[in-house]
Amino acid sequence: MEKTAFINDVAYAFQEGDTILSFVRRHLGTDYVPTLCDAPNLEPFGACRVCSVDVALAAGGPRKVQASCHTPVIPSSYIYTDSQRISKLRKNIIELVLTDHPLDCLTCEVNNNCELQTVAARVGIRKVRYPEGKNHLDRTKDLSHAYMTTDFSKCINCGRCVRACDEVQGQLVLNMAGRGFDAHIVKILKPPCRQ
Amino acid sequence: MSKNLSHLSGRQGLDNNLFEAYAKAAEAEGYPSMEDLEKLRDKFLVGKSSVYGAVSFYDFLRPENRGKKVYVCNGSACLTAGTQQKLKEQLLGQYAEDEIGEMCCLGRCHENNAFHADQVNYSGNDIGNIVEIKKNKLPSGETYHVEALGAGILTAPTGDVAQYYKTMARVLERGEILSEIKTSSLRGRGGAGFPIAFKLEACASQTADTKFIVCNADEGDPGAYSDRYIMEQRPHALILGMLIAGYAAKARYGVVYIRAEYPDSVTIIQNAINEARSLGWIGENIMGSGFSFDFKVIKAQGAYICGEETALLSSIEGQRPEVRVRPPYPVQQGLFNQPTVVNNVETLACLPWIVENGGSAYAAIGTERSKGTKLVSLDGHFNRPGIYEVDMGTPLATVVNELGQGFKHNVKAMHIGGPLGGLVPAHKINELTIDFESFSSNGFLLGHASVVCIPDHFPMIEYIEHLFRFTAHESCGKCFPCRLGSTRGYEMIEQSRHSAYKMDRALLDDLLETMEVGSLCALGGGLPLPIKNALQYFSEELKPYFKA
Repeated sequence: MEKTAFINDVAYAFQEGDTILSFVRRHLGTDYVPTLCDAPNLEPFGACRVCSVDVALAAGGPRKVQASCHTPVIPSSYIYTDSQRISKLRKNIIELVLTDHPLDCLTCEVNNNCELQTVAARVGIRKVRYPEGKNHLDRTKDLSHAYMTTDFSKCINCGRCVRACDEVQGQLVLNMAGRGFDAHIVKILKPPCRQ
Repeated sequence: MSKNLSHLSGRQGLDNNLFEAYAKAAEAEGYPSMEDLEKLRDKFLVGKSSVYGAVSFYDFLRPENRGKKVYVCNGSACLTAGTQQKLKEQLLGQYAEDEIGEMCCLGRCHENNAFHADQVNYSGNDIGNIVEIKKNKLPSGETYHVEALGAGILTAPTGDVAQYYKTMARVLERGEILSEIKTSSLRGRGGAGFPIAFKLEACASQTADTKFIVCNADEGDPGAYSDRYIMEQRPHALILGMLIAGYAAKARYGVVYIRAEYPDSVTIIQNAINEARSLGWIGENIMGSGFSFDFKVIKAQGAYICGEETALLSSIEGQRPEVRVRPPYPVQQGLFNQPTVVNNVETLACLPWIVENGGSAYAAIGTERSKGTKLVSLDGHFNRPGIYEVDMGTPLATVVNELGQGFKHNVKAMHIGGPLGGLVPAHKINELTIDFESFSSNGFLLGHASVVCIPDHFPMIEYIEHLFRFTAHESCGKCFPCRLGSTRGYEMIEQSRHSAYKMDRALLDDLLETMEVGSLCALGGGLPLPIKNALQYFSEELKPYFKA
């Protein structure tokens, strides 16, 4: 018999090795649960937490917030993708992201082609309530490379470039450095020695 | 975390450890040079960004550490004792301002005035000898009271070393020890309270060439010094405990990851390992049993998050100690991608007694779900601070009033279980007992059962500012709620304390909920507990900092 679990109270079959995210996506579409740090071909990372969902082990049971990208589906569990608590959590995370992000969408080169913009619109951010604080908005663009340019004032630390460089390319040229609020991407372009 | 880096680091073996190489490279200047990092890149065949990204994470490997000669403890107990400012002034008589750094925390919470100079920790009245200390590296005059009430398992002297290790002979004779550990119902003392037997069994059942027992001796919780007590006063209980765990989990190596803020612990544990090895209890084919087990001591480099088990594993591998997602769990894919059991010092140190006296004897002590004994660390606000071992289920009032002999002055709250533990208001002392369930059902956390007092005169806003600053400083920066939330929370509290800014209560509540349910690990997820306790129990005192 196929194993099933419930998404918003409707039963669906899941596959061996499914995460909650892969399970929901297969049945309800790729964009059903918003994500920021997830990427095809990369291992689950669990950084942005925007993909969080509510999970109960039984109908009407106590719910726990789980990041769907790295949480395996539990048979017969009840997954709620848009509960009030989850909607609020996503909105609050995006609000935090926007405290350290230029609010210049209209003049930005990726306007209307930006995952952050899409998710922010979807969760319904109206304004940022935090007082002004530390930020990284003064970082300048790096145009030194022939075809890879970077603007770290807009970086949200999803870590996708670092992981692609490691997991897909095996190059280890990119990494995070520092920690906490100061964590940032470093590019050390001299390739690793292969003696 | 990178599987590639785990593999590249692991194939050099524990004796040629990348993380230790960082510390060695930092010895001369206080941080490794770019040339040092290039050499390590070539040797380990990793990226320069890999090694640079890792070293830039640690307090004691960053360029800011250069030239630091003395470090003041900025932990919670020294903060509420109010000794830090005067201590720093006294140090300024001997050291230049830029030679004085900070460490958190030195585990001298019982006598405060704590500082670190040239690999020695000092506290209490030691500062009076600062001229001599600087010249001749005097030993510290530290003393603290140790007492057991009840079974007294961990505080009992281990006695003659050769005799003590006979317990391992009995393990080897029996050939099976897991059932005894299961019967004991021993749960992890590191905070989560997870049964150790589950982990040992899961590790034993994995197919792998090499398995590891890792002892989390990164006792970073300000206020806690019970693991330090075990390492420095009962080191063989830990070593023998790890041997037993290694046998039960079918592991080949034991790694003790000890924080750099405890230099004596590092030395004493290494000496204890050497002693046990000379007696034949460590190495290849121990006593002809076919069981081989070896040890490695690794000294950390200043990062609280390394107390989180997956960050700790990445740290040993020389990666950035960012918290990993689970699954895979460490017992499936831990150190160097191999099955690994991670447990804290106090948990592992219980195993020799369990083997010697039987799992049922252990399970007979304590409450229905919290078995055995618990070490409690009391800070300098008590009349008799020190380390106390009590049976699980002992009333908190007994610990405070009888063992600690009460407070030196009026105390409004006790912060129990580390920075992520609950803030217990003084009027709740009679409602709690020392066990996991009593604390959690009352909305608190047993944690390491360390007790830091907040005296009546100490402003609650300053204390919660300290907790947010600590979390913002120690956040690994991986998950968004903790990386951004801890800094924004700190800024809100700091601005409300030092400027005309008033906090919006709804915004602070949103922030706390976001961190609590959204964070990847217990650092961002745990900070909201004491803050919420403060908001609940000290709302009047905190009122002026909020919008009306």
